[in-house]
Amino acid sequence: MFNLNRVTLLGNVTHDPDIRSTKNGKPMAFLSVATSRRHKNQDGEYVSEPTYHRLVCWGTLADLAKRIPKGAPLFAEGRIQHSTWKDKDGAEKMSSEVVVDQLILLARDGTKKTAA
Amino acid sequence: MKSVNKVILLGNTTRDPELKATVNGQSVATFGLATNRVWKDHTGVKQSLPEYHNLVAWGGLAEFCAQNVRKGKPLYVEGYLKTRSWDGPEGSKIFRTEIVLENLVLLGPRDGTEGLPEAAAEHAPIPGEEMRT
Repeated sequence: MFNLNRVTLLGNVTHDPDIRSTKNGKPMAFLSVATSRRHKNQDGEYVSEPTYHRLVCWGTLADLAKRIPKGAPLFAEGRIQHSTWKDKDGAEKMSSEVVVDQLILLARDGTKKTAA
Repeated sequence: MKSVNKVILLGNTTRDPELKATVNGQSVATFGLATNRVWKDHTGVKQSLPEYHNLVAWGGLAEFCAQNVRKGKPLYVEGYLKTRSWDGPEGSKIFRTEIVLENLVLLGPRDGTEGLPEAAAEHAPIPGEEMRT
């Protein structure tokens, strides 16, 4: 059966990229992006609530991600991946990441850089 | 700056919705959806891996889910990502990322027993006031 798992994000990068590589030297980078959602609270006032997303970039996207500074506006598309693992105390941990396949850096000077 | 946080999933429901109400009477339904990613590895062999998502619906959409969404049925959903956190044992923080639904379409053959619409959508979450008896 046909399946679909697509995530589209547009927001600001909240940290400088976390650059890593796998044991066999494959480059990867983690980016952190914040989006915000406005909603009405119980008193009927609009409040803005941020969500922080963890993005994983591989290969050429990781090379692009390296150059994205904190604060930059960014467009990203990919799929969501949930992972569980045990921490050093044996407690079950869970995290969700967006595995990026398209990145567009919406730089402040108006220039665009893209990779796919 | 305005931002975008949009998720589209098409997959199979993995568990029946569980309908609850918050303290102020707002309905909330939670259930699971699996998507399957299929790709060819470097030797050309087809591989597939499932991804299990936790979905949350509020208000009228929650009640619609509780009535119509069934385990095993294919489902199309749109929504946004939201990460909740709470304190776990020994002061550690637990994070859970869920997809909060804004729209859904029931897919696949309908249940013969109930005269339900095959596809229903645009159920805007209803504010908590006019809720449940």
